[in-house]
Amino acid sequence: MAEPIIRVEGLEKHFQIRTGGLGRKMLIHAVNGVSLEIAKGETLGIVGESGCGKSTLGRTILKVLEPDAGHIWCDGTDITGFSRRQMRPWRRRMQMIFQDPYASLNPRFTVGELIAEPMAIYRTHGEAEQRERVQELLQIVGLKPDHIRRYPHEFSGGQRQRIGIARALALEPEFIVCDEPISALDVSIQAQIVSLLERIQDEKKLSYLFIAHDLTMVRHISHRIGVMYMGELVEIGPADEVCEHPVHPYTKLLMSAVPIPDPVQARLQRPQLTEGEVPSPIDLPKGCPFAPRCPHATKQCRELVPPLKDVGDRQVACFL
Amino acid sequence: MSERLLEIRNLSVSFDTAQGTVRALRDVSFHVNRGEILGLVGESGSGKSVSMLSCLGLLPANGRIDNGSILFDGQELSPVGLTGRGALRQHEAMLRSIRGNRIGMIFQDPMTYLNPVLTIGTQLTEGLTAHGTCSRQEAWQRAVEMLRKVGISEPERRMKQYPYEFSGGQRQRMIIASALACEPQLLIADEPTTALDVTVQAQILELIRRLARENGTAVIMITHDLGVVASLCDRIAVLYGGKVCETGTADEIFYETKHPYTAGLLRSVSRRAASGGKTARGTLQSIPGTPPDLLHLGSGCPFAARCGEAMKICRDYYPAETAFGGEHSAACWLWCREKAAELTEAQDRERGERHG
Ligand SMILES: Nc1ncnc2c1ncn2[C@@H]1O[C@H](COP(=O)(O)OP(=O)(O)OP(=O)(O)O)[C@@H](O)[C@H]1O
Ligand SMILES: Nc1ncnc2c1ncn2[C@@H]1O[C@H](COP(=O)(O)OP(=O)(O)OP(=O)(O)O)[C@@H](O)[C@H]1O
Ligand code: SF4
Ligand SMILES: [Mg+2]
Ligand SMILES: [Mg+2]
Repeated sequence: MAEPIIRVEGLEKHFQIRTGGLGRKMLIHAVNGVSLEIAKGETLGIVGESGCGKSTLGRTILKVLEPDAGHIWCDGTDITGFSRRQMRPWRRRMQMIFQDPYASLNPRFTVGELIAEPMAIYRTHGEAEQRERVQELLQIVGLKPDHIRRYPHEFSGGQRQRIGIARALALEPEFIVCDEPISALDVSIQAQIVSLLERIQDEKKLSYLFIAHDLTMVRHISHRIGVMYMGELVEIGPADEVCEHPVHPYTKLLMSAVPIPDPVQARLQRPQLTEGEVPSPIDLPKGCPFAPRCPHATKQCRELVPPLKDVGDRQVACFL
Repeated sequence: MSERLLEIRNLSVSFDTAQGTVRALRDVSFHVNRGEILGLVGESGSGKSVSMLSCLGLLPANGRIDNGSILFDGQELSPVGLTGRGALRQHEAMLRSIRGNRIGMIFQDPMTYLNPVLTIGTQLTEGLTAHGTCSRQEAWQRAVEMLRKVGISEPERRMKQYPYEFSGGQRQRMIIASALACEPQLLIADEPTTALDVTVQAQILELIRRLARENGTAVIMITHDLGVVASLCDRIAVLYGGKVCETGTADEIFYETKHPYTAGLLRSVSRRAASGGKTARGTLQSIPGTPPDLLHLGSGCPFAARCGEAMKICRDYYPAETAFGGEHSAACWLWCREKAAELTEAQDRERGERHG
């Protein structure tokens, strides 16, 4: 089989937080032993509870955050222990589109400068070439040529997200972590951006880790989908299968809560709100992380952590 | 006491930029009643956020309200017509006393409104004590309670953390908590659930629904998610190119759609929902074309360039508004063809005279 562009094994990322007056430190297990592979030209969708570690997973794979355990291979090379300098040539090949287009764009730069910045840092283009490429990128993401001299705050939410995408595409990367790239966009621009990401993928054989909450969109763009809960993968498999026949109780809950764009149907089927608290990532419960909310939880679930097992064409972490 | 809690009438807003004047809102009118949930939908850049920022007096420095009235509980929030430093200063003080108190706000970009160097606890309680309505201790209790309600586990511990220590969705819930904690009469929620997974989203929507039903809070909900609109909103206003193109009850908008833009929007969404996302690559449907350039707006219907039904008159004249009974109305020439014909005739005559 061809070398996957990304492979991670037992990846862990913890955050230390201070709580209480005595400066007692506690650990947040944001990513807790994740293993996965992304093939060249493949999109792996990641969905899951807010705060379950999706962004942290993406950032750790890119080594924006240093992993606490586990290994990351990029195109067959183990980059886990690489220093910043060693990472430099790899950075160009791996980019990120951020969840928060506001926080990630420097307000003092014009749009033209923002899009040119990665090219300037890596000195990949001559001055004239660079100007041309900026225009090309603006066009690709559907912004107008005269937007180049405007500042990020002069744009609406959706327009700013497209600036971020143009930036990520500037260096023609091979792998992009798309962290909720379309959440802030309206339906027709969502469709444009997703079609755009698909087109670039087909042309350049790009790979994506696509994080989003909109399940229909994730399903549309992804070849495979991974479902995360409390820092762990609980189900991963072919996109259509996971959506149509979810196996893990959390995946089932997720699929049932998708709001329906039809007032009458929406009135008829209010999603069942789950009882039970979302556990805190600070004190991970013993056993399956979903057990406190799971309608099928048994004694075994509360005591032991279910391992990720093969179930037909996918893997599921559940004792059922 | 009037039914209408907030009433925006003929609001026009523009921005000065190096390229010229951006006309973000043109003659926009809509309202929200007490206890009602109004959905504000429309293309990116159509002016949804700007309309709300105008109400709150929070437009960026290069923006201004050119015209229009914004009545909140009988009080005028629009500075149009005010002259003199004193009057303007008084107006600003009045807005400050309303913001984050009688009007709660959930902004589209949480990070801009969270101070990165202050703990969440400090920020949440500051909002509550600022208006002198409760003590520090009460405020702390209330903030913890609100965090729990929006589904943050171990709120006591999390109060002592900084914004960067939270995930995107957790930050969004901090903002929701702070907006709800002040028990506002009007809640303005700009894309409040985009960063939340659907199960947490359902929880938050239920919270907002209860607030409207039980406390009589009016809610203006801005969102791109028509699923959210369908399950939450009583009434909907659709914006396009800085204009309201259609408004009506949720059922009217979804089942008796009149405006071609609304129809196009619903079509692309329902097709996606019906397929459950199981659509072949590259076949994602949307409305072809791009939104209008607000720097160079013509006099016609802003949707004309993308509208499948556009007629000649659409490019020259902004369509008259047609009422369909109740509160349902749309601005489109398709529904007032007589008037359109009259205008076209007059236009032809004029042209004929000029040439003849
Ligand atoms: N810098 C940090 N310091 C401390 N804790 C952090 C930090 N970054 C993230 N966390 C915590 O790690 C957990 C995972 O966060 P992450 O941002 O990965 O979630 P997410 O799955 O992307 O959620 P969302 O869908 O809300 O964006 C959260 O509980 C968060 O509070
Ligand atoms: N400070 C500014 N200077 C110039 N133009 C601005 C400024 N702020 C907003 N605009 C413009 O005003 C228009 C309306 O923006 P607004 O933020 O209200 O859009 P929106 O409907 O909220 O879109 P989105 O769904 O993407 O958030 C946009 O075309 C935007 O580019
Ligand atoms: S006025 Fe004309 S262009 Fe505008 S929506 Fe109606 S038919 Fe289309
Ligand atoms: Mg995230
Ligand atoms: Mg907006």
